[in-house]
Amino acid sequence: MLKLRNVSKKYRGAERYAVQDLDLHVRHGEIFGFLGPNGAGKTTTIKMIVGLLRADQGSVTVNGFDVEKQPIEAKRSIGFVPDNPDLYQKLTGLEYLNLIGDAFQVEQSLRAERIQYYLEMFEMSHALGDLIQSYSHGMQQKLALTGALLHEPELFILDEPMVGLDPKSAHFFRELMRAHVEKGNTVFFSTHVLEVAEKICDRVGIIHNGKLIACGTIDELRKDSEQVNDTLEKLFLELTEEDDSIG
Amino acid sequence: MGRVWSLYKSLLNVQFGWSAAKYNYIKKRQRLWEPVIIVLGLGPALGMIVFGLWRVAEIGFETGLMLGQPHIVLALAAAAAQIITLFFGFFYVLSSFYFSDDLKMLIPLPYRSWEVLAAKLLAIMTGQYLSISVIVLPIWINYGRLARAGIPYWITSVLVFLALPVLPLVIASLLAILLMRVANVSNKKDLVTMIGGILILVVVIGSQLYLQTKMPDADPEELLLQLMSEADGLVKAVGRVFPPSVWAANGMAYAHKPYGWWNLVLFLGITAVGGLVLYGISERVFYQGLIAGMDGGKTRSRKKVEVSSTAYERPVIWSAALSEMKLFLRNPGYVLNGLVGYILFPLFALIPLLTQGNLEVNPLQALFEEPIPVYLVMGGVALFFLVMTALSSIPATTFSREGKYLWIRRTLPVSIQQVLAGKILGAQIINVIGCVVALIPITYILRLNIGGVVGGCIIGILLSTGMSGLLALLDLARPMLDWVDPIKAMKSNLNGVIALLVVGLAAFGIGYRMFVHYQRSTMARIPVELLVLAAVLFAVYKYLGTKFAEHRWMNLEGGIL
Repeated sequence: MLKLRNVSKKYRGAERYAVQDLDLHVRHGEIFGFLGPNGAGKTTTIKMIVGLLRADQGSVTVNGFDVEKQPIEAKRSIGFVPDNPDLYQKLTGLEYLNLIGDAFQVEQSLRAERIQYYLEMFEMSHALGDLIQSYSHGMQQKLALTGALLHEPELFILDEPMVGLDPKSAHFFRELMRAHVEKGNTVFFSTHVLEVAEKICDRVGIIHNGKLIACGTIDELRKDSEQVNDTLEKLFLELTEEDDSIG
Repeated sequence: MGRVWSLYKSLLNVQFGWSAAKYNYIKKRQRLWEPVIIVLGLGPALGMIVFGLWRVAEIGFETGLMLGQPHIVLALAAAAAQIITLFFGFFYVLSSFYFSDDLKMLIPLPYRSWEVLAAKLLAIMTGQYLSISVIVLPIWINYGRLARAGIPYWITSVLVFLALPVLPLVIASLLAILLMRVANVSNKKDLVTMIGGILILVVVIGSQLYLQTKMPDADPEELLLQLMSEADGLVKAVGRVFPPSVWAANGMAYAHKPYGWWNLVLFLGITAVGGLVLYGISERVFYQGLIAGMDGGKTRSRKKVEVSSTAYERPVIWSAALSEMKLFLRNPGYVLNGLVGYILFPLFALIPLLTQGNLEVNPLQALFEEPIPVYLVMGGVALFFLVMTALSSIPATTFSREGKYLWIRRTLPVSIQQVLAGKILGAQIINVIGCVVALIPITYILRLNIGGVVGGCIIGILLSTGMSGLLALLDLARPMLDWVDPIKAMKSNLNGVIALLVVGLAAFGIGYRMFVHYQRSTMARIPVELLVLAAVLFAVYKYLGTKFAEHRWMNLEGGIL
């Protein structure tokens, strides 16, 4: 579903690579957790996948489409929620969802059905006609999630999705991710909350200083580090510290 | 005062983007071509303005000298600077006091309301000093040189210059504070702000224009003699537009006499009184209005929206156009800045109707006597559409206004050509409606040929569509995405200035061609030439839109979360 081959990105004026020689393959029907400390290169990687940044070298393909050469086709398969979703403040919730629905050409009855479903789940149907500027941070996050799911994306990409969600919404959202992959779709998300990743991810990748230092199921990571009983948090700390000492 | 100074420095940094410029140009060494282009592009234009005003000072001084009132140029410069400050200051103040994102950060800090207000006003004032210095300094310096003015003149000039923008900004602030006090307690805050703001501008500008054209019903020669015989009569006549400018001019011109000192005291005194009134009002009204506005933003409609009947499916370009219009028209700052031209043009046309002066006093009335040739009407109307495309700033700031929200459009499966088409369509719908509404009273008052007006509208739409496309591409090339105050995307955006320069040059060229055709009696060629120009603009847009836009859209790195 998602393939990154030898992807590197260095910001202009920066001394080191934000992402370097990244190879990653995320398969159909899995929840993939992308972990790493602050500044590791998670958001830069996500921005390159969704077309917000251009890789200096390497290629990113989504559902078989090269993000750089066939951006429209690639984007049709993606639903994206950034870590801090800034949404047009002067549109109403419904107007925002209609804008997204039009771009993804979501058929009217399907659109209405999905909007109803997600907004009822997030308990915010009452606010649909209000300007987004009147929404709380959490409500904007939920609206962004609804917008990203409106076209039932084959690849659902989220940058730190749990930030801003109340416990009830976070619980619904975890179930929603699982239901989404059960339909044959894929979820790729970055997070700091290792507990969440441990609970719901089929596989995880750990990025540190722009390089992928580990990738696999949690059991595979445990085996590789020869710490069979370690929690993901312990593994994460060991792997990133190890990498620091090598670096 | 230390706290105000510290806040002022931070606001100034944000306003002029010093840290951002240092980061981009010095640390990252990127977009280094920008300052070069700015200097090369604006330098000659600025030089021409300064040179022109330098000459105005000479001519004004010589003419004034013959009439015994050489310091009329001082009053002219002061009045112009104060009116410009009042007009633009109102937008800046409204935006900085009420619509800026930094307020959410400043309100919880332990600042008194007058401290926030003073720091914000000082930051706006600093920007205004730069603007008015272009008008005032060439004239005042040249006057001082020609009049061989002594040290008192130069000292007084500095004092007057420092005080010059204060009073208009105080008036602008008072108007803005009172408007927002009313708007923020209403449920339709944005709508009340827009209507109230437009009304205030119409009253302020309308009264200035009215005062300027409303002369006594006397023989013009008699009137001139009367103004000349009266001490400072001409200066006073100029100063009617903004009375304190007369005190400023007299204070400078008679800096060596008690009469001048008295005028200076009057000018500085009224400025100080204005400042004190603002201080009093700010303590009582400013924060209350601001906080009431923030409450108002959270009010929710009780009516539940029926999703099944409102989730429409629309073509992508139309959807983009609709969002472009909604996002523009729902922001009072954008509306007040972008649409004011559509209101002022008919206002300019209405003024002659309100005044009863004769033809010498009011030459516009000459236009009523002879019908304007139909092809000239056509050209003029088309030119109006073209000029308003740039004056409204809508296409030239279309990507900049997206700011941090641009990630939404960039992650949608929509090509840049579709995005551009939607944005141009949205901008053009506003432009066409604005122009047509403005043209109705103008057509009636100037008794324009209806066929010519309709023909001009059609050519104007074609002409302005091509130009809108090019201006949108200009904004795509160098969008200003990192703003805190949304109004900066319009008012502090160099793209808007470049658009005005480009369209101004085009308008000058078209106007010249129309004049040539008028003289040679070949006016039928005017619409043909305009249609050819429209085709050329459209072809250039198509070429650049294909060659450049795709690459730029993929490589944008600003405003991405």
